[in-house]
Amino acid sequence: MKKYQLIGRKNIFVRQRPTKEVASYPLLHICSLPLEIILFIFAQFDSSPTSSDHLNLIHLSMTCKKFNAIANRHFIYHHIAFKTPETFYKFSEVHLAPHGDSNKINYTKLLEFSNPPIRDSSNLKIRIAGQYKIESFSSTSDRHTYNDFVAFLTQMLNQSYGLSVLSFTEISPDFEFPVEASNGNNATTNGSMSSFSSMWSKKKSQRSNRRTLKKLILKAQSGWSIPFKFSNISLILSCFDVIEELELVNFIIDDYKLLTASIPTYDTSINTLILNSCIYSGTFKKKQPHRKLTSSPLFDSVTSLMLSNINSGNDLSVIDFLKVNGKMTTLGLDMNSPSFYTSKVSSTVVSPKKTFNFSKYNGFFKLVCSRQGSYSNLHELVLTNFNLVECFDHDARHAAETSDVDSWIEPSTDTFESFLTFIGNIENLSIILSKSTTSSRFKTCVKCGLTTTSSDINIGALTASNWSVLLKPLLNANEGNCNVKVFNYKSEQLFTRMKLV
Amino acid sequence: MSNPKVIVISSDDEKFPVDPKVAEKSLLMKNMINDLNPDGLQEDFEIPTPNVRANVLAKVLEWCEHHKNTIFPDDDDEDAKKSAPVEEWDKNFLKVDQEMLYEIMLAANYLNIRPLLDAGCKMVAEMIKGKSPEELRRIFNIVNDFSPEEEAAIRRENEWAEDR
Amino acid sequence: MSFPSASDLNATWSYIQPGLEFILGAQGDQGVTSKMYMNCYTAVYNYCVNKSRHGATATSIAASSENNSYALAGAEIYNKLDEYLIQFIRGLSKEANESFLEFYVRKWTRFTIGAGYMNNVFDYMNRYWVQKERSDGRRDVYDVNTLSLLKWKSEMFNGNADTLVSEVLTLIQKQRDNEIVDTSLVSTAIKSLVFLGIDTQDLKKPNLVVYINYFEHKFLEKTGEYYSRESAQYLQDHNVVDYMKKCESRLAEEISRSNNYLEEHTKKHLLDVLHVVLIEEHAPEMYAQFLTLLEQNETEHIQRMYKLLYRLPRTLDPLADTLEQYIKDQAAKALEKIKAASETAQSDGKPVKRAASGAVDPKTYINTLISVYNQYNDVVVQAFSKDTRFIKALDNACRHFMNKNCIATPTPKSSCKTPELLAKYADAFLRGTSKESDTVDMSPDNLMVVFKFLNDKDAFEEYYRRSLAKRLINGNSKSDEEEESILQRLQEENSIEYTSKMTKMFSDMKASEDLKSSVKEHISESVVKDFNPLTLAQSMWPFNHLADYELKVAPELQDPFDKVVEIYGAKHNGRQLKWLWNHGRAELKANLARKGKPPFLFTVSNVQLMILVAFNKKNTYTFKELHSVVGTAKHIFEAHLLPFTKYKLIDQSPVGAEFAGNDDTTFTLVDEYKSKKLRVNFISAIKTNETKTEEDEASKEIDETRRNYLSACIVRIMKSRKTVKHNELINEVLPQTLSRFQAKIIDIKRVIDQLIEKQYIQRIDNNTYEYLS
Repeated sequence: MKKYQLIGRKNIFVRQRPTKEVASYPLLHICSLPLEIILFIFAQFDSSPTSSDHLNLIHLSMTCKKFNAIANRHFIYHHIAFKTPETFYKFSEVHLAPHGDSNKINYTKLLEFSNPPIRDSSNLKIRIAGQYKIESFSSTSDRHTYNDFVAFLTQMLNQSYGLSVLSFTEISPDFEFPVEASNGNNATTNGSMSSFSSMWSKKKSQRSNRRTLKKLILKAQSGWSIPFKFSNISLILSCFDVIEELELVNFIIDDYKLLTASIPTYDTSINTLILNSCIYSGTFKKKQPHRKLTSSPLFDSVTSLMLSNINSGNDLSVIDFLKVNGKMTTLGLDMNSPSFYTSKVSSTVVSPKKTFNFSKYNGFFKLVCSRQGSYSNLHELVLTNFNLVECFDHDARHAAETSDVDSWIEPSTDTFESFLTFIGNIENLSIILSKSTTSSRFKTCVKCGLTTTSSDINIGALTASNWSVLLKPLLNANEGNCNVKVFNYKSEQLFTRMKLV
Repeated sequence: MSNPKVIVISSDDEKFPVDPKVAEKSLLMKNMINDLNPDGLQEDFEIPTPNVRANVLAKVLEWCEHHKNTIFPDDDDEDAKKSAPVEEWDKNFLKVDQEMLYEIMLAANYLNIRPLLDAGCKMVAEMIKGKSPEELRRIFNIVNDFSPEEEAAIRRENEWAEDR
Repeated sequence: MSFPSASDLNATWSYIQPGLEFILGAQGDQGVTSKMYMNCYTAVYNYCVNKSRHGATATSIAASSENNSYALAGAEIYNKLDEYLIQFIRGLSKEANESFLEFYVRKWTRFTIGAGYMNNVFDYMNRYWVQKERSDGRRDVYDVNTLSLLKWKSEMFNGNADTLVSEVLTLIQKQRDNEIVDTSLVSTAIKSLVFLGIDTQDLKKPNLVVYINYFEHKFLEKTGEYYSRESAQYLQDHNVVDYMKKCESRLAEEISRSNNYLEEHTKKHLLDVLHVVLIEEHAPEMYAQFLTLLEQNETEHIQRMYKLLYRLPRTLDPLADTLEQYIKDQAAKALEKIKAASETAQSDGKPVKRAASGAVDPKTYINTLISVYNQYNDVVVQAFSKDTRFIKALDNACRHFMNKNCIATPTPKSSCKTPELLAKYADAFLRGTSKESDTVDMSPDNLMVVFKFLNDKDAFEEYYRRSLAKRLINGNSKSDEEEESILQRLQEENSIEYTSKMTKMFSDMKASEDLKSSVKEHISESVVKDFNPLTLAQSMWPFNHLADYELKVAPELQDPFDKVVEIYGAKHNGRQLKWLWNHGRAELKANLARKGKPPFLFTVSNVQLMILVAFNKKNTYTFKELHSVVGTAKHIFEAHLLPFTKYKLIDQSPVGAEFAGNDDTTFTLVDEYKSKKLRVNFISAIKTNETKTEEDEASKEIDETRRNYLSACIVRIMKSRKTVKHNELINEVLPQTLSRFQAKIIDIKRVIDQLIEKQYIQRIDNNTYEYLS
């Protein structure tokens, strides 16, 4: 991201000439180690969440200029997390103009806000969680207001050109950004703060390059499910032209609310939408039984929808809401979601055994992969976290291999075998195996057509022909007209088959 | 010859004959052995290591000998590697003066022996943990090259971060 | 040699470059030493480490600023290498005496080995700098091996791809022309195309883009052209059988070529091309040859043709159609022949007794059907590997010729005679009275084959049941086991309902055994030595009670008859018994022989029995007297009396057929009967027109059963559907009858009309019926 290193700064800040020269050390000194090794050493403190570990990095950065440069660039400012608004205000006063100005925000790739502040209580008509609010406001300093937060954040987003991942976690139900000019006017106390509309025009006039945000994550406060609304992301939309991924965690997608809310015109596109533990509330049909379900402008450009941690089969209906935009071509499903499983409590085993509920969901997969009707645009299915190996039933396969083709008994379609046949209809299929140990070992046996029998084969060691046997119904489905790829949890490709046609 | 050896030669021309299995702990040497002996090792094979002194090379090969049968976790599994503590034997093995430690780490980096380099980095990290900037300067003999104003500025810059 | 200053890029590069020359083979085939290898690695390492240790511009003032002072090093080395590779590859030159392909393969082989070495020699740069750049999202930086391949592609391959591929294709053509070529050139060049398919987004995913776009398309095109030309040429000079052999060997060659040096991806496409060019485009020639092969019974060649066409299954359908038609024609010819033969026999000599069933002997007829079936069944099994298409063709043909042919259906409208002939055929080998030598080539297996193809299975049941009934009551079945096994097979082939009547007949026979023994206990043996009553369920057996036969039982014989009625009535209260006087026979001992000779044994009908028993009382009766003693209708009485006068057991006075029925004509039993045989059968000489009536009865009954079946069927459908359109109804009824007969639409219409009359259903408009409950 070298290109951007100087662009973000409005005022080039010329520092004082250093008063001391950079010290020179012998070759076998910690300061003489090559950068690659120093990065390894510093990295020991990075991912650890404990604050003392972070302090280690800060202390290192204060020992000398070299370590200061390395720690700031690669660690301290590379990934910034604000646990409270207070910390952000402190940061802003030092690092954001006009109070202070440093080039540190150019290093920022990941920016995370926990407990983002909400609008002053005077503006709130309904308090859903009084308790919570006191808690979250108590830490807000008297000197700073919600408007300052919005202003600082705008500035930060506009200036940190290296930013690729932005996340807001522990979001309260009242959290929102300004949307309408009228809202902003009353609330504005700070000169730099303006309405959304003016922010919008500002954005347009200011930039010539298109800006892309790789990923935006919104995570509701634990225990809450918050209805998702335009104002949750309005500010971010005003700063970026493309948001490659929007991930919502613990939100409610209410089609009626989204379709009836007024949303100003904007031209930011969201390409991928990830819904994690989100609830779909399809109330539109009930409230407007005579109108056709349409796409929300927010999701007009979504081409991929990924659903993870699906808690109820009902939440799968969000697919219908998204695909009416006519652009959705890719669907991702977290196969480890609770809703896909039935728990069988056996008398001998204490922990219930989860089994994939093929009888309930095979019809769904058949429809989704049918390439017909309203699913004709869907070209790709991505199954993540899939414990393929555990689903594989040796006995069923043996039965299928030996059964008489002319058998007059209609074979059951509630099995893994038919599941494979159904998903083999889609044009492109990616399967990402789950990380669990049971999914990395596989029992092979000659009966299934494998050449050897072994009780325990590392899934990575399976050959292409092993895979062909394992996935036979899938590969044979639809005359082999399906590109199939299988990856392990590290996204390393284990098997690939290009369509035959 | 039934058991050909790899003869590793230090920068000061000392020769260390080792089992190929030991030398192959170094990915660099492993690749070279394979590249230059596509049909397998038939006879003794000399590898000069012009950047490693004899006493360091001896130390590194000792480590390789000890770990010749160890299977290390995948290179790309950073999280697993980071959280794993340094093995007791390695800890004792790396109880050397700082210069020697750095020299071993540099050699491990040069010869591409990632587990040894990781162990070294962890040892250094242990030395850093919980120390103030002054203590760090003293332990590692780092010269404070900041002016008092700069030091104050850095302190102010990072105040927000100390909060968390 | 000492290492260059680590901070001096140019010096470092000058130090590395000679080593690279060795590694890439610019110095001929001189080996690379470990020292050279290690020195290059070390120089790269030194340069990178030195730079990342001190920062890019250690001495400049920027070092104190935070911008870019400390970064991983490698970019400069990478750029140098990039430049060097371009120059190196551009500098490669072809030798005068080698083709471009030879040059390309020679250099590629060496270059890829070198690229692998270089990847390791530059490992330090790969490990840190390249890795970091790629993880930062740069897609124009590659590991050294990939970089080398990409440079090869841009500097060597892109400009020469057409030459390369066309030389490869030329070699392949030469190989096809049976010239000896260096296949390693072909395989290496093709492999190189696979290696050059690099996805710059994801280096781990190899793809076949280069291979397919540059090579596969052209290869397939050339292959099509080559074989299109060759096959047309070959067929001009050779016959079809030779051509098929040629195809076989060509296909095998191409498959082995594809296995040896083409990507798996190509195989399917290659076969598609070959199949179209070699097989589909010349299928008409093969079809034309097929009939000849069939006529000459060239099973091996037919099989060859089948296997060839099987590769493109759609080309088999016309072949199956041809086979079907051929079988039909052959069968028609064979049947015409036997028909003609039997007609000649008729016109030649003595006219055959009756021409009712088309004059042809059932055995000849059925055996002809079977021989046609067997002949082509063998062809299907041996040449067509029991392919379902051909089994179907055979079945269709059989179904056709067994039901519709010059013998079974002399006129298009006549109902099919095959069921009747088949029943006769069965009767012939099941009857104990047939001669062993006549039935040796008849079998239940043949019966079942023909049965399978019968359309009117119900008609067969009717005829077969009638003959079975006769065999049972006359006790002249050859073997009970065989009878039952056939019944079992019919049941398996059709249904349990199909054989239910006949099964009941067997159980009647068994029940009658029991009755017989109970009756026997109660009658004295003075007059009747043995008495064998059969009770036959009326609806199961094809017999009718005829009033004309109602006779008067002679008083001395009355007892057993009464006992039967009594015992049976006690067992089965409420069941009505009727004597079928027209069936059954009696054996009686006649003491009319000369003294000292054993008495005669006469086999007679029931009516005849009563006639003869009457002569126990007196020797002479007038016609009127005798008739009143015996009972029955007059013509029956006359017919049964006739054999006695004919065979001179009873003298008629006055003599002459014209007086036989006069009331006062007298009949006198002879005192002494003269016959060479001790056993005399008087039944066979009874002349009635019953055979004719029986046939009428059978067809009447068939019609009746069909009507019942149809109306049951229609009522069932109407009951569940309530209202149905006419056409739908017809379409539902037709398939339901198929296991028994082929219903004619006119019959269905008639039944519908009857049902309307009986008010089961009604018309609600012109086209729709409604069910009336």
